[in-house]
Amino acid sequence: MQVRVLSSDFSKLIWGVVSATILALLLFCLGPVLAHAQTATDPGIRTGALGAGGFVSGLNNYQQEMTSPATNFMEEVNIVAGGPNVKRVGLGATFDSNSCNSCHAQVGVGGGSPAPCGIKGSLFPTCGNQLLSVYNLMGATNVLPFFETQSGPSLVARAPYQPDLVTPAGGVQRLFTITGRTDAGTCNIPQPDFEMLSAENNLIFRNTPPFFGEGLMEIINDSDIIANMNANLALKMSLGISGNANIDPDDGSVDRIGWKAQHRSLLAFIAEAYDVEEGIDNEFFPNKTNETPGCTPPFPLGPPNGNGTHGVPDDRTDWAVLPATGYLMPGDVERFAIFGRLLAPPAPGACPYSNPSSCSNGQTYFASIGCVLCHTNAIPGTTYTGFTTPPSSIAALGNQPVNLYSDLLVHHMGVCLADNVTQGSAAGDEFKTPPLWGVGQRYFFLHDARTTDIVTAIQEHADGYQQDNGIPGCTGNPNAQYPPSEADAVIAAFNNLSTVAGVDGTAQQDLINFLRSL
Amino acid sequence: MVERQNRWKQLVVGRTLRLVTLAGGACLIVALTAVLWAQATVSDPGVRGINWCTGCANTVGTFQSTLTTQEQESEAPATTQFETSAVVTCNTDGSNVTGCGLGPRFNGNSCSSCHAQPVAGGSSPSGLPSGPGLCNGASCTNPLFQVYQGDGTDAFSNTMPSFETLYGPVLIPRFPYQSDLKTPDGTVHQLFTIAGTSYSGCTIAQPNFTQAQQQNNLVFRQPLPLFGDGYIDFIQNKDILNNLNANLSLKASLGIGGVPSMSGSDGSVQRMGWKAQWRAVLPATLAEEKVEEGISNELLPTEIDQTPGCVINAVPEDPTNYSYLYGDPGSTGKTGMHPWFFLADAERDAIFERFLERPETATQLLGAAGCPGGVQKSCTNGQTDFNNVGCVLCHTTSFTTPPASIPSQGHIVLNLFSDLVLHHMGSCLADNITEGAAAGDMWRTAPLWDVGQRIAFMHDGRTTNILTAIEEHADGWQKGHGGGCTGVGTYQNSEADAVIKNFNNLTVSQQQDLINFLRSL
Repeated sequence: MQVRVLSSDFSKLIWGVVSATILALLLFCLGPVLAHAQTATDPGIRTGALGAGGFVSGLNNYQQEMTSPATNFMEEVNIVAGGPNVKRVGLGATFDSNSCNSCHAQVGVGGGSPAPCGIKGSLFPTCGNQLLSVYNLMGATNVLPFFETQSGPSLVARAPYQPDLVTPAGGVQRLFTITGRTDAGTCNIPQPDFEMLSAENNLIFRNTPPFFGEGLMEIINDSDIIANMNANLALKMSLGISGNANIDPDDGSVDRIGWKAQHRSLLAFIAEAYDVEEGIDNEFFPNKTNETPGCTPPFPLGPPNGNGTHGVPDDRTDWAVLPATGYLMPGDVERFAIFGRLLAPPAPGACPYSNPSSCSNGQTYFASIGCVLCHTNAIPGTTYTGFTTPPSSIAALGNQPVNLYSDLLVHHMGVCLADNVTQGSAAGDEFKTPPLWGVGQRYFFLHDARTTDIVTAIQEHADGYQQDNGIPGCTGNPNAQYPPSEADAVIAAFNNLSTVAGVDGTAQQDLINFLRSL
Repeated sequence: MVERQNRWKQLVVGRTLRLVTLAGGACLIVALTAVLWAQATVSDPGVRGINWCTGCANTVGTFQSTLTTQEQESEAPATTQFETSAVVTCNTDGSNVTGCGLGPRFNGNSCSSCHAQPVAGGSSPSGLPSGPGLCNGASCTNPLFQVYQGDGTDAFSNTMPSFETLYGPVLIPRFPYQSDLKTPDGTVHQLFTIAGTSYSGCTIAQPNFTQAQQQNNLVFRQPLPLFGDGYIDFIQNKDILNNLNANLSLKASLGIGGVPSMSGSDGSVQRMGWKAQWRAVLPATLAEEKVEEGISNELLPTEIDQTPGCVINAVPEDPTNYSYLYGDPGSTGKTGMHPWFFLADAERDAIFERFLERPETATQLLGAAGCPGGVQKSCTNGQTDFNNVGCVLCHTTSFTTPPASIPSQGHIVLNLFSDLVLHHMGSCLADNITEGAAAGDMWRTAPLWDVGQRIAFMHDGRTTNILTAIEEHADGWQKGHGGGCTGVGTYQNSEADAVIKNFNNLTVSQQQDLINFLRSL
């Protein structure tokens, strides 16, 4: 009996130890599963008003009058030659698309790469990859490159290296040619061999970024960008964050437009894009991108009295304008820039799942874990104040807070985000902090649109995320000695938020909700 | 017997030595005479229109005569814009659509104050060291002396840096390195500020040029002439590259290479500026408006210096003038004047530059009278020698424009005498500044059309003698002549070394012909 008692106590003890061990084992084994189960989910593109695509308020009458024709300029579909409208000619001989609007479309003219159709009903004015209706237009004999798909992003291709695979290159490899088009005369040139470039690991992509609000962005004082770079240095250093400005070689100001901050202003960006993406030579880049005989103007179909099809540059100042249409005097490039400059920044929308406190909690964590150290913005209740524009000669753009969530600097982002292309001071592993305004309505994320899930997009900021998760396709040059991603520590903190209680389950979910409200 | 033989030997040896000495001395005298004769006789006839050919007509500075009537009509507003002196303050209502936004740091207050020789759009103006009377009208002296303390509207408290002289060329200073003297800089450090009685709230100082000079961290560039740039704008890239790849074995035998300054944007050949750092007239003009005058524009929209108290205007200071949407503001019936002013100032400046006629040679204009000395054969022979010694391998005689969207600009033969690519020019021409593909010792082959009318030569205006300018192409020429070699790096030899050696091997007469040919351009 005593033994039994003893035995009973002993069995209780054993049972207790076993139970505790099992519980510990369960916790040990299931802990990560639970943590994984608590990882936030992307609520997807937010519902509600589009919040972008309109013009800034407060424009004067003259500026207001420009908005309508400026929108028409952006929607202009260009052809190689012919037709009554000389302002439309000049496409090719190599090109990515035939209008600005075909790629800059989400969620309106001037936006980013359009989402697939059906994502948000018919609310989006454009859906699906528009290049699929461009590549074989007017009899063109192009083959659609393997990476352009109906539901995928409009991707622009670059080859980091020359054919020797050692000498740096990095220029855009335009997808299509005008060969075979009924307006292209005898031009006969091949497309790049994208299969070969891909096989050689010499092909990278850039997604189309939106340019809503860049009229504000381009006039932020350089001194403010530099002051922000030099703020919170100890905290940044403790998290491995640095960042540097892509300095313009002409005037020493801070270049800030484009994935690598390679352009100083909308005008600089648009002049290049018109030449590089549509092949339309202009007063900044006056020659054709391909000068193969038969592929340069004039073409046989040139209109008899036009002034745009006799030769280069196809897009230029037009002297044959009347006062009633004075706004037609500048070239397309300048007029596109007017459009971009007057576009309003994206307005944030409602918090997903209709719980505003979730988003405000998420914004607090966005600041506290360090996202805001690069994605600069004013955060209520903190010392982060964000940028404000100086007085502007377009009064409506002056003295405005710029809620862009970017420091406009370039940062080292690790080997798996690296594209091995150097632009200005941005090295092969450096990218500008992309502005997050309007991110709630974006479908494709990161410079090469590698994901449509905003949670994955965040985790991709960490060095080697792809490698660590067995995801093929790390584009970084394995021979390059890139430093770790500057975001590593912040992403580790983000991952830990999955175990922190929040308004909508976890603090991590709140942060995601906050981003999707932008 | 032996003694006699020895005496005989001594006599023979002695006389031989004396003869050799005499002959050597004679040779030396002849050689020295030849050198002195050469120095005395090969001379720079000087600036066409100033030192010789004073009655010659200038064809530069006018608009291309083949433009359409509508295009020609832009001459007046575009020329006015190019010659407008900018003031600091822009009206807050935007009513002064031209000529405001100067500073807070700047070099000059108008395009034409620096691009002036022999007329607006030209090269650096200056008098000649021998003084006024030899210079050409308004461009008699360095125009910065009329600018640096204000031109009447504004009063600034600048001091004139020592390197700007009353008769010297306009010099734009750059610092190759940052203050640690290691990290590359290379940007323009503007001469002047708006600080002074007109803008007492602005207290920024001029750069410390004295210190930079002591640290060997100060280099200069002089203004380039712009005549004909509207054609150079659209010479086909493939023509430039084909020319670069022509005569390769001959070039290699002379040590000549050359690389294009490729645009990182579209892979085309950049061709404007001393280091081919710009692709076209328009981006160059916008950059110059910002950097030289401190006027923010739509390409470079923020102020050049954002120190509180110095930012006087809203930015950009040179915007599209929306109120000229339909010509002049307030034209209710949309029947106003031509909408020139809808365009930003810099756009009109660029129109001026693109429509400037290309320079013609004096012999094209005047026949024999257009060649210094009045013998046309001298210039004809000079061009032959220019080709024979190898100058032409970089100073390419001509390119032809492709069909142009302004039809009259197409199919034009441009005798610009440049290959528009970059060459290593040795440590004594090096300025240690990298711009795009141009390393610290590389320069674009400067076009020579209009060289007959230029006053100062080389990127830093170091000489007014065209003969010296040629010799300066050779590596280490300065060192050999006690000059101030600015190079600090271990640069390769100048690609022009062998050609300059060939030039020096020409006879005096041939050299003079070659010089005459150049001065006829």
